[in-house]
Amino acid sequence: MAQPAVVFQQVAYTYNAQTDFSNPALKGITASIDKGSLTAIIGHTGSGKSTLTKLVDGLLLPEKGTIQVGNFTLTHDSSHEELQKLHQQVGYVFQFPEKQLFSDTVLQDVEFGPLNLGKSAQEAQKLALAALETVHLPEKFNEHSPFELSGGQMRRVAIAGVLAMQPQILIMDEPTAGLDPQGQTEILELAYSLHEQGITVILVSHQMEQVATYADAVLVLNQGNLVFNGTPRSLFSQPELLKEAELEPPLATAFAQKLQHNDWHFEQLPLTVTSLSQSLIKQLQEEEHHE
Amino acid sequence: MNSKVFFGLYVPTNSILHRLDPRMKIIGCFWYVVIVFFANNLLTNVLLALFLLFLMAMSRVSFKMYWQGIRTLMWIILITAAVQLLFSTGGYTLWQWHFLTITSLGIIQSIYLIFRFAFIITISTVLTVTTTTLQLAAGIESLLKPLSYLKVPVSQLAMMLSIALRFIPTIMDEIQTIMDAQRARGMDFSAGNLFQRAKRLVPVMIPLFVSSFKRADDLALAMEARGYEPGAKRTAYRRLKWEKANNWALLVYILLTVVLIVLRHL
Repeated sequence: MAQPAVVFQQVAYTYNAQTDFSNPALKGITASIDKGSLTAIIGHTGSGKSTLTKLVDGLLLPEKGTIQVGNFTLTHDSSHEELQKLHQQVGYVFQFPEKQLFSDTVLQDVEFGPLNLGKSAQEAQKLALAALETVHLPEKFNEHSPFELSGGQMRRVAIAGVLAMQPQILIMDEPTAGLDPQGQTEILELAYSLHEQGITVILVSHQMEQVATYADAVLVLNQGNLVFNGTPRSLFSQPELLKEAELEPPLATAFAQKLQHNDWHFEQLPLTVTSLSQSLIKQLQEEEHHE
Repeated sequence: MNSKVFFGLYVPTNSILHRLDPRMKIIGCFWYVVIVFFANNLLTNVLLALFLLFLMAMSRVSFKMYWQGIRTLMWIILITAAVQLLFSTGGYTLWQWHFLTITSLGIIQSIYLIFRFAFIITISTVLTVTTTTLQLAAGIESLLKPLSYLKVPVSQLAMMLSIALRFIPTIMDEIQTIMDAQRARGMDFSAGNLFQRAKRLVPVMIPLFVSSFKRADDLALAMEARGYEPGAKRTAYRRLKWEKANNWALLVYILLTVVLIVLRHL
């Protein structure tokens, strides 16, 4: 059993608690996220995904329950100093992170995080340069204004700004939203390579293909409740559960399930187009062989 | 959706006040603010307070909500009252230190001042919690109509107003997101002295301005694409209609004013 990086214990959170607008976002979540895993959090809009990830980074404090993140235990009365230290361990790439850019140059913007953590100017620059290399941003842009870059490049600068803080846990909230297919693949490959380096990656996503291809664990939220915690494979083989959470299986899986109704057999339900085509080729070859 | 509850947020409880004509509510709010300055003794202040409590009860919005809206402005009221208390003269002197004095009249005046502020803030809150921004803009446009004969671009002003009001919650959400993002990057908004804190607003204000300009640009394009032409005559889908209930409201206001004038001279 792998070590957990994050443990949720009966976590509940309500927005605008004690007003006429109170809006319960999480209703008692108990789950854990393994250290070094790439865990996807999925769910319908308003299911509580962003609230859950904000709790991991201490941007919100739980109303009830506790969250264990590394050595930190977050409760409703965690101290401000503790949260400040937590940001050294957890990196958070927000949705459309390019919105947080503000500095005169790309390099300065990426240095912002490490400097906030109390690193020296020299160290911060070293970390920033390394982070920019990790996101494959050409060096010539370092002295450019971040506002001169293209959308995809801006996003990579913003991600570098988070990576420069060397987080142990990286949260990415829909990092591919609004990017072209190539840009999407680049960002996901980046997330995957960080996961291979031992960083725990928490990916919030709406695209089941991404979950099927990259994630090794999935949490499914529905209206503030945890309805599934396991592997993508076991999730996508439960159509009723998906339907209840208002989610669609990946196209390849849906296609295979349709074929199953027409007497095709799959030893293992394919999750990606590649595995679907491989298994189809195999079956067709076998049929030919029999004839 | 998850933005904070703030001063002047519309609360849909569909009370009688909600259904009144926005023009009546705007005039009523404005008139109340005027007569607040005519309240000069205990009785008149009690009258205004009772009337306000009556309106608040009629709006069917909880007093807690009102308090949450006013709470943020409480400091301004208290500081102003303290200044009034320490610098005004008249009546018996109760305490003196260099140029600071507390007098009996000063105490009374600062108490009235607190009431005045509270009345004005609360009546405006009653207006905004019971009136949608669209209705407010329509009401103001209709009330300013006579100015259009003086070549004042009333409908454009009303459009600007309704857009500005419409984007308050959006921009508040945006500020929250940007602040969260910078906090996640290790920024500590609450440490340091005032000057350091002000400097920390840069990483929030620049992204906010960038996105606001972008949003304004997008909105302008979208409006043009839908055929908006400034200065052109526009018709409205929901036209304001002066229902009978508004006459009663008007009568209540006239009565209030008469009683106030009488009590003033007691």
